Amino acid sequence: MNAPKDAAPAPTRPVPNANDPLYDSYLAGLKEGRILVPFESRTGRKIWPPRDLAPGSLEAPDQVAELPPRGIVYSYITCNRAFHPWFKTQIPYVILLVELEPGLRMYGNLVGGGAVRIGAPVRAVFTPVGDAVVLDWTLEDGEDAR
Amino acid sequence: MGMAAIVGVGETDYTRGTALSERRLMLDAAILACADAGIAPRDVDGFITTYKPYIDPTEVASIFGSRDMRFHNHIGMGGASATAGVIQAAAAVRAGIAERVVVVCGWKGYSGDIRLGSGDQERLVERPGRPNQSIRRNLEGPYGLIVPMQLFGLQAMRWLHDYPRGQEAMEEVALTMRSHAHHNAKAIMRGRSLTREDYRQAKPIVEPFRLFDICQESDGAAAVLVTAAGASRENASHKPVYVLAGGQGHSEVPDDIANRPDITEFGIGKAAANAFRMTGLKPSDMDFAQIYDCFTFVVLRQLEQIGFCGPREVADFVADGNIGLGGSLPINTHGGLHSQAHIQGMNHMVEAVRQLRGAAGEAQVADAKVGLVTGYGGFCDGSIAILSNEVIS
Repeated sequence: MNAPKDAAPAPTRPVPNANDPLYDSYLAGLKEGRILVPFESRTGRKIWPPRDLAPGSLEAPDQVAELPPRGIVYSYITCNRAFHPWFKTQIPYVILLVELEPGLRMYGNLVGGGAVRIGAPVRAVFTPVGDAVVLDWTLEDGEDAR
Repeated sequence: MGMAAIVGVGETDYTRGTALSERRLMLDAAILACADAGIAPRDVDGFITTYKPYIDPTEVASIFGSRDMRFHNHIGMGGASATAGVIQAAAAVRAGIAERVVVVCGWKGYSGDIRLGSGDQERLVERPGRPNQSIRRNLEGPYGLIVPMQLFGLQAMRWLHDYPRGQEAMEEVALTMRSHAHHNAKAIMRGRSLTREDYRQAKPIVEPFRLFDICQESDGAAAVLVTAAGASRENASHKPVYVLAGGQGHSEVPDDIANRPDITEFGIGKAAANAFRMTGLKPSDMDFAQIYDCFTFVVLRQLEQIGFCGPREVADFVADGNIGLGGSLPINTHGGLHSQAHIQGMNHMVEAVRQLRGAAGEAQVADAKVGLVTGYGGFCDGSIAILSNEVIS
């Protein structure tokens, strides 16, 4: 391919804001290949998404809880159009909404392909992007053969 | 306490592409609403801008020459903003805070800096101004999850999983709105046919949405003028349209779609129940409904949650022309965002007023006395207004 001399740098995948203190434990966990979420010990609840105060108790989260790196597909979309330059290189890409435990859900892109369905078991993939790590998901072994 | 009424409406041209700025479009619509009401712009004392703050209410007041601005607000709840603004204007005049409030909404959804259906929207990832930007930036942006058709697509996919007949209902909504646009002089899709075959063959954009499940992109602005019902107007040429009741309804976790208990639960059901209670009316009393239609799916869930039919009954409700002109509940008689224009739902409010004035032309619902308007947007914020050409109490 003949790229023009002054071509813009290749687009890169967007990453979380490393300077958002609410997300410190979550982002640090991803770098270790773990899913860590803020935890409020008085009521014993995980606070997800991260918030300054725990909904209901209005206590600040004071600990960190670890979640198993797997879940089931709660919903998903298959995108044939991209709204960010990097994702144009990924079309079609699948965005999963994964339930890790009842009522606690995280998004992620589907990596490794396969036919996705609501209810499919998935496991976490920790994708390095520059200095950051992004949480993605892949279908559990054998799932695609269903 | 008197009733509030919409006494003027204004709309710019609805186009794809314009030489005018968002500011100018909004000013033009507001001025047209004043002229329609027979009220001099300098006598307007309340200013509400909705959707994005392209122009500040103080700037509108300064240009209007209003020397006694009494009420100022901007409402930024996406597609819920326009109807929410009208309810707020009605509350302000009923409370005596202001006497004549203009509510204006406009944007350049086709040629401006926010084009939600296409193009590069990477600026939205890091752009402040969306609710809980931390969630947007950290938990959605890295997955390319940026625009409404994706966020609502996730809800629609879950809904369709539990209710496969929703797909045929989505088709019915798309076709009905297009058929209505053929009767509307301002409709961008007027005269452009849409067949069942076209709908089914259309390319999937963000599955489960195909092209015609997604509203169009348009440029334009619309405005209404709200006063106390008895306020004198020198040049009144229209009967007032009363704002009987309304409000807002939000999901249980309003800033995060992913972690609300049921992502198909729309908060507008709560607002609708309250509005019906305030009026003593029920859904079957509505002569028409202008339902915010960013996506076909969103229309259907609102119909269910407002109570026009039960959950998982909407495919039967929308079948057989029931939501078309001549049906038991004509919806989006102007063509909606889908087929008239995407003016963030202020065009729905204007169409409701036209229906209740008996001025809706070929799309006029016979003897329309009471109708409903909704707004929907943001991360599933809902707003609703019940309007009538009679005082019902």
